[in-house]
This record gives sequence, structure tokens and C-alpha cells, in this order.
Amino acid sequence: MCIAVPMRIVKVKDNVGICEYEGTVREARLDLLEDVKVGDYVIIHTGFAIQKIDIEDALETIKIYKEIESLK
Amino acid sequence: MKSNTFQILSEFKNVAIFHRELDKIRLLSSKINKVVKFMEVCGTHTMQISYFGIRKVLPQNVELISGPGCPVCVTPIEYVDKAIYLLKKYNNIVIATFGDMFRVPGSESSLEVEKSKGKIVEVVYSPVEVIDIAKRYRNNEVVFLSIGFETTMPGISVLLQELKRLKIENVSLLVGNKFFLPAMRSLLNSLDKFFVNGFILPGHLSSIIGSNVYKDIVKNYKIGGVVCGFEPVDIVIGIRTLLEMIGNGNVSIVNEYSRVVKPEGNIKAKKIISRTFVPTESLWRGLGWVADSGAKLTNEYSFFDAEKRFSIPKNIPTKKQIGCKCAEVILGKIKPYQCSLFGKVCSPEKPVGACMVSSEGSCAAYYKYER
Repeated sequence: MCIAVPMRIVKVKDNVGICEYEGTVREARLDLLEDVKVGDYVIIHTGFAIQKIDIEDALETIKIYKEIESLK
Repeated sequence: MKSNTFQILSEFKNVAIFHRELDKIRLLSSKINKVVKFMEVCGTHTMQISYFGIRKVLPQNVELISGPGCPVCVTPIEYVDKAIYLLKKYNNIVIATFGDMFRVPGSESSLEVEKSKGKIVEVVYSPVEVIDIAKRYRNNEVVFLSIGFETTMPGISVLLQELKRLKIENVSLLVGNKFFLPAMRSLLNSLDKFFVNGFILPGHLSSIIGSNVYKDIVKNYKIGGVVCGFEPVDIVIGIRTLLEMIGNGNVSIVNEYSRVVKPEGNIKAKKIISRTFVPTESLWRGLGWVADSGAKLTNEYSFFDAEKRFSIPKNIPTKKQIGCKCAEVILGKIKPYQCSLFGKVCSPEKPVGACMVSSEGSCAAYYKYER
């Protein structure tokens, strides 16, 4: 039940966001987050955006692992 | 960067990184001359580990066991019986429930069986859908089966706030929500009965409660944990990190899922939860009664408490399924296939226990991917 998916916000109207992931579009409530903007990536669980995804952080993590890989 | 952001996220499925981590796991485990057991305490991890076949590629001395992380599985049979009791006793009841609860067997019946007999049971994906159901059934009493950990609770809190704002009065909640940490502590207090060398900590639940809260686990129980994401690379990094902790004797809490989990969690969501729910003692399948591990409505929202609105007996006699070992499976004491019912009389098509029904239950995961 704690399953949740990453999606990108493409439209915001009041406390509802239109989110997209690989062609799937759905609505999600934004009540649980501060300052959600179009273009933000969020984790959606039971129709609510529960946390933003820090893309810089993801990029940094992957970069570290890829660099180690290239040194192998 | 925006156009390829999902590509960045898909790198957590990168096969080369996965195999490099696996090589490290093999090396580290070869230096440890004992069997180590790591417990995941999130149903989605359970499912992903089975789905990606991670257990099968691990060295023999590294075992993954599933703990009480599936909210449907830990919901006791008594809760299901209460919902069935309401449907049978009151003619005007509409039950609204998350899909995972629909087929969970109670002592005598399930919501699915009751619906087939003509009772009204509506399945929701999101708690806020209950508002539309209440409008559709304006002459009925809608009872929402409110279950789930802190991941799900803030959405239910928003539902409660909306019901109050919109003055919708024909809705109440049968509250079965649970706070995760008290259960984790209870589990750790019974570690004399079985052993765990480290925890794969839940990613999405931790996005709400934060990674800081696990520090006392290390302090009090000297067991480390890694907060993990749900992609295959996330999970093997978690396992490798736990093995490193065992190797160097330096246990700690590591946040591998830092792209989503912050040390302090989601402060706004936690505030929203505390406006509507307060901790109370709660019954868990597998763990029994655990202090402060359950939720009850705050005074401000007690109007929406189904147990106050309707007369539900405190102790409905339960009839446990003979032979069902869900309780032991939930605590990681036995593997699903060690239950004599597994795959014989208990299957996802005809489940006997909650662990086989829930899409995130250990038995369902083993049945689908590891038979």
C-alpha cells in the first residue's frame, strides 16, 4: 500500500496538480507540500504528492556510482 | 536537464551499477564467516526484492527476511470483523476501502463476499474519493476503512479536514492506522526470539517521518539500517552498506534514498497528521498489542469516529484460520513457503491469510515470483 510513483507536475490549479509519467497523466493533491511548481518531480501515493524528488541529489548519486564504474 | 530527468531516475535500474554492487556484496560476505539476516520492513520492498529476483543472486550467507511492513497484513482479523459487523447490522452502511482490504478474510466473511451478497462496498484509490462517495450515497452512512502508516495518514487527514469544511456528515472512519516506530521498537524488544543484523528501512514512509528518527535504534539496539529507495540499484546499495557496517563493526543509519527522504521528513505532512490523529494502543497481527502504535482521532475530529457513531461490540469473537501462519511470516520468523497452507489451500486466487491477499504481502510476493 505504500507503493508510490515518481511523476512530473505539468499543471497546478489551487491544491491539485496534473502529473505526468511516460504518457500517463493523473491528478494529485498537493496539500502536503510547500511551493510546488510546474516542472517539479514528486512522489505520488494514494492520490497525494507526499514528497518532492531532489533531482540534483539523484544526479549526484548516479554520477558517483558511474564514476566508480568507469574507474573499474 | 528537464527532458531527461526520468532518464536520470531510471539510472537506479542500471544493470552495470547493479552488478558492481553485487560483486562488492559477494566480496564483503565472503569475509564474514556467518549467516547475516537483513529485514525489510516495507511491503513495497518485499515486492520489489521478489520481483527483481534479488534474493536469488545474493550469496548464501546473506538472507533477506520480511518484517511487519505491509499495512494490510498487520491489520488484525478483528478489524475486518468490525467492518463486516457494520455491514450486517446496519442496512444503510456503505463501506469505502482501499482495494487491498477488499479480499482480506475476516472470521466468517470478507468485504468481497458481502458485496456479492448485495452489500455496498466501494473501492477507492485515494482517501479524498470518499467525498464523492458520500455525495453519491447522501442517504446512507459511509464508513471509510482508514488503514495505513504515516505514508497514507496525511492524505486521510486532508480528507477529514475537507469533510469538516464541506460539512459532510454522513461519513465516519473505522480507524486502524498505525504509527511505524513503536512497532519497530516492539519488534526490536523481541529480538531475543529471532535475530536480525540490519534493517532495510522504508523509503516512502521515511519521506514523511524522516531519517533522523531511526537514530535511537542504533543507540539502543546496536543494529544499523539503511533507508532505501525501491529500484534494484537502491536495494543492492542498501545491502552492500549493511554488510560494510558488519565488516567494520560501525553500525549507523545511512540514508541511501536522499533524493526523496530528508533527515527531518515532511514537516507539513507531520503537522497535518497531528491535527487529526493522536497515538493510542493498537493491535497488530503478529505483534499483538503495542503501546502508542495506533491512531485515534483528536477531540476536534472525534465526530467522524465510526466506533462512536455506531454500536460495535468491543470483543467480537474471532475465528482464526487454522494453520495460517501469517503472524510468524510478518515477524520474519518463517518464510512463506514454510507455512503448510502456502500454495496448497492458500493462493492469491483463494487467500486464507492477509499476507497472501495484499499486493505487498510476503506470501503474495513469494507466490508470484519465487516459487
